[in-house]
Amino acid sequence: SEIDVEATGADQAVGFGLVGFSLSLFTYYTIWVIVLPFVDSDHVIHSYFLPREYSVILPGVAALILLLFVGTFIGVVTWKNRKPKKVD
Amino acid sequence: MTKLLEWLLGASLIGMAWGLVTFDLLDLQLPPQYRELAWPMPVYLLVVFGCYSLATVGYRVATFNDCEDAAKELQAQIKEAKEDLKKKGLKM
Repeated sequence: SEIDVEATGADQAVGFGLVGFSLSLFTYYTIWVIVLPFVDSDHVIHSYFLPREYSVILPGVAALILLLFVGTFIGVVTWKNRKPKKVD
Repeated sequence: MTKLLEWLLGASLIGMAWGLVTFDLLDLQLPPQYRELAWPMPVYLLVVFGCYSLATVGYRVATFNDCEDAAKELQAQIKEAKEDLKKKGLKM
């Protein structure tokens, strides 16, 4: 018989944290890209957002940084596993 | 037509529609708000997809129940396997 228990605290915290972060990011980004063009340019809400160009530049920079991390990780792991003469 | 071709065709059509609006290739004289809305679309869709993926992973991590019986059984099997392999000469 298999008795399932609720996921442990850390799992729940991390999991729901990711959900919360994703929802926040989605909401902010959607207002920035989709809603703002239709709001009068003198409305106060615009002061909470960077100029529109950054809505494309920032994800681009984030993607580059992510690639940098992944590449560095692969490089470090490959370097650590190097063996003299023969690579298994 | 294969699924790949279907997807490529769909993506190309959407891509062309986006290009037409963003670079005003047909001189459509669209209202400026819609042109402002169009040009970040590819990046926006990628970010939304990323958010959806992250949220899905997070939710499934949070709701994945522990299976205590299965965990105990697995630990016992690991112990058994280690002892068996040690007997057969494998160095741990």
